[in-house]
Formats: sequence, C-alpha cells, structure tokens
Amino acid sequence: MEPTDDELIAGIASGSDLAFDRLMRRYRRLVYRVAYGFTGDPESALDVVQETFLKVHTRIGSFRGEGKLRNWIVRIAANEAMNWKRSSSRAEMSELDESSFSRVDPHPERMVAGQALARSLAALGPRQRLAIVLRYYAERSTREIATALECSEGTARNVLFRGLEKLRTMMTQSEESLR
Amino acid sequence: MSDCARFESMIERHLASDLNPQGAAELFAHAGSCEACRRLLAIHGDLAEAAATVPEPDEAELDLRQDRILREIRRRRARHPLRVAALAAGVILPFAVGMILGRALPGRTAGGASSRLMDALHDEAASNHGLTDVENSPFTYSNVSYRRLDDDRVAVEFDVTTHLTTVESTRSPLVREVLAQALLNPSSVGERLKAMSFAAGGLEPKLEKAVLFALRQDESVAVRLAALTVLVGRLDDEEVRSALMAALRDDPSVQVRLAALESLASHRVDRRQIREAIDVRPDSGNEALMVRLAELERNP
Repeated sequence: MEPTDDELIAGIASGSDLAFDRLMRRYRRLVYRVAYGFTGDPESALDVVQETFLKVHTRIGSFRGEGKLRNWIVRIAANEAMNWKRSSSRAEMSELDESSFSRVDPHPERMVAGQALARSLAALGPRQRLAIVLRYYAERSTREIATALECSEGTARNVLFRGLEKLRTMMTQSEESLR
Repeated sequence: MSDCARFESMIERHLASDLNPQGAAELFAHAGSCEACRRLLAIHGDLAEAAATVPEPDEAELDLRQDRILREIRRRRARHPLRVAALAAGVILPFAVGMILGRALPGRTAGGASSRLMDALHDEAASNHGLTDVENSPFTYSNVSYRRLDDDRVAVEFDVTTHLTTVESTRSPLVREVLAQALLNPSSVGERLKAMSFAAGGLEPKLEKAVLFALRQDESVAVRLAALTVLVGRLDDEEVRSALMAALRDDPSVQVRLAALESLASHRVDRRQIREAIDVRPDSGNEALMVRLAELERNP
C-alpha cells in the first residue's frame, strides 16, 4: 500500500531518503506543470522542479501539517518559478518565453496567437499569473487557488478574471500593432 | 449596469469551472452578441488548450533530476550535520510528536519546543544577508500580523511549524526576515503594504533589496507607490536612484511615474536624464509628466 503524505513526512523527518524519493515521485509531474506554466520552457521547468524539491526538503520542518502537502509544494514551486527570472542569465531566457511556449505549429497564425498569449502571460503580475497557472496548468480548484493566494474563494475567482481581462487588453493591443 | 458588468460574476464562475449549465448557456448566449466577452472566453479556451499541450518530460529525465536532488541533499547533510540535527530537534521532532499524538501543536509564546524554534528562527534570520538567503531559508512565515508597540518594538505573530507570538525590536533580524519574505512572496496587498510600512522604519541591505524588488515587480500600484516612498530617502544610493529612474521610464502607472519624477527632481537629478527617461516611451501619460517637470523647474 502506498504510504500517506503524513507517513512520508515522518519518514523524511527521520532522515529517510527513500521517503523523500517517494514524495518527489508523487508530486514531480504536478510541480513540472506549475513550473512550465511560468517558464514556458521544458528545460527551465525541469530546473525549477529540481530547485523546488531541494527547498521542499529544506523546509519540510516548517510544514504545519494542517493544509494539504500538495498545496504547500505547489506554493513553493510557484515561488521558485517566479523567482527563476531574477538572475540575469535566466532573465534573458525568460524574454524568449513565447518562442518556447508555442512549438512549431503547422498553422502559423495559431503559432503567432500562441506567442502573443505567452508574451502577455509573462507580463502579468505575480498573483494573476499564479492564479492562471494554477487554474489551467495545474488544474487546481478555486479553493486550492484561494489557499495559494491566501485569500477567499471569491477573491481568487476575481484575480483569475482580472488576469484574463488584462490578457485580453494586451493581446488586443498586440494585434492592433501588427495591423 | 451594462450587460457585461451583469455577466462579470458569471464569467468569473465559468473561468473557475464553478458555473452551472444553465448559467453557462445564458453566458454563451450573451457572448454571441458581445465581442468583449467572446474574446475573454476565447482566451480561456486558448489557455486551456496551451495547458493541454504542455510537453511532458519522460520518466528517465525526471529520474535523473531526482537522483541529482538526492545527491545534493546528501552533500548538504555531510557539510552541515549540526544544522540538520538542530532542525530535526527543534522543528521536525515536535511536528512528528504532534502527528503521533494526533493533534496540532498549540500556539505558544515561549517555553520548550517553541523556545528552541524561536532560537532557530533568530539564528537563521541573523545569518541571512541577501535575498537569496531569504529565499533559501528553511522557514516560511505565513499568516503574519504585526502590531506596533511603544519604544520601537513590534508584536509579531506568524505561523511557522506552529503559531508563534513574539515581541521584537523593529530592527530585529527576525522582523526584517519576516518583512522581506512578505514582500517577495505573493501575499495579499494588505500584508505587503503593512510590511512596507514597517520596512520604512529602517532599511538594512536585505530589506532594501526586497523593497526594490517590490518597486520593480509588484503588481499593485499601491505597493509600488509605498516602495517608492520608502526608498525616497535613500536616493544617494546608486541602485535606488537607477530603480527610481527605471520606474519613471517603465512603470505602467502614470501615478507611480509621477511619484518617481517628484522624488528624482527634488533630489536634483540631472533634468536632461529625467526628460530622456520620460521621452523614451511614447505614452499618453508623458504629457502630464512633462507638465509637472516644467512646474518643478519653475518652482524648484
């Protein structure tokens, strides 16, 4: 039988690498999707996965055990992915987000639209971007998004809505500039 | 109320997948005749499609990364055995005991495990100097509240493993650590503003970096304005001056750009540089900025 999250945490607390290996196996694809939602690049997303789990291991002692471990890990992954752009070498990479977000597509017009979407997404503020990544890339519920944003479910829905409104404005401007 | 405003909460619910089928039908009927709402729903679809086509990494690549992580953990453990042991004793052990007992640890102000935890927090905060140290801290503070007391002290409450309350000097490294984390992480606007008002009490380098980060990156105009206010007394610092110049040039809010202009002009920064910063981007707010700059030049 698969160990529960609590059992894995207790195992990690006692220094078991096997417990941590199992925990990573359980959440690595979710962390990857969150990371990809922010970086738009598979290799960068894998780097973020690596940094996230290192931080999870370092901070596991500060996990209170009241909320879900999954939400706590997602929050660390999101912070890690947002911070990913701070170093200058990474910042250069992030400028290219849109090119990697939309891979070669047989429909060029769709590729251009994908690039515009990725560029606009990268320009959003951290809370709106976090809400969008959690909703679409990590497929989290409104309650989980609210937990990650430390707000009510109503506010979480509104952050998501405002984020999409902002995307609409930016994409409209981008289309107008191409005309 | 316009039709779109009436449908706003419906769209909110639809985006969050919380809208019932009847509401969805009503919304789509409206979108059929409303370009703006149709566009919003199309972006919703595009995002869902983009998320559905994320290139999945293969298992071998993920296994390779996991091996790297475990190797790094073993390397760190070998380098810092005492720190790991201290964390286990002060933090992990109480959590495990609490879990075994089947109940959450109670919030305390001092004594026993909480006292050891508080010592560990103070030690960690005192040893963290840069933003990277703050990010790499083993402790994450959440549910933070501050209450300013007399004689330069502050009562701080936060969750970190357990709920703690402490009274500290506003200049305590622990308070600075909690403030810096609040500015770096996506906490609520209220929390970030509160952290900013305490940060104004005394900026040490780590906190100054966090405030600069907020000025450059925070999505809230109110927080960026607060950051600007905190930084204005430090314009002799080259990094602060160039951050304000960048805010004048690049900030999307005219309000923030105006505040940056006032600060830079009052600090007697070269007017030519200020004009260039305003001119570099064609923007509808430039006119207001130029008018204000002319006023400042007439009445310095």
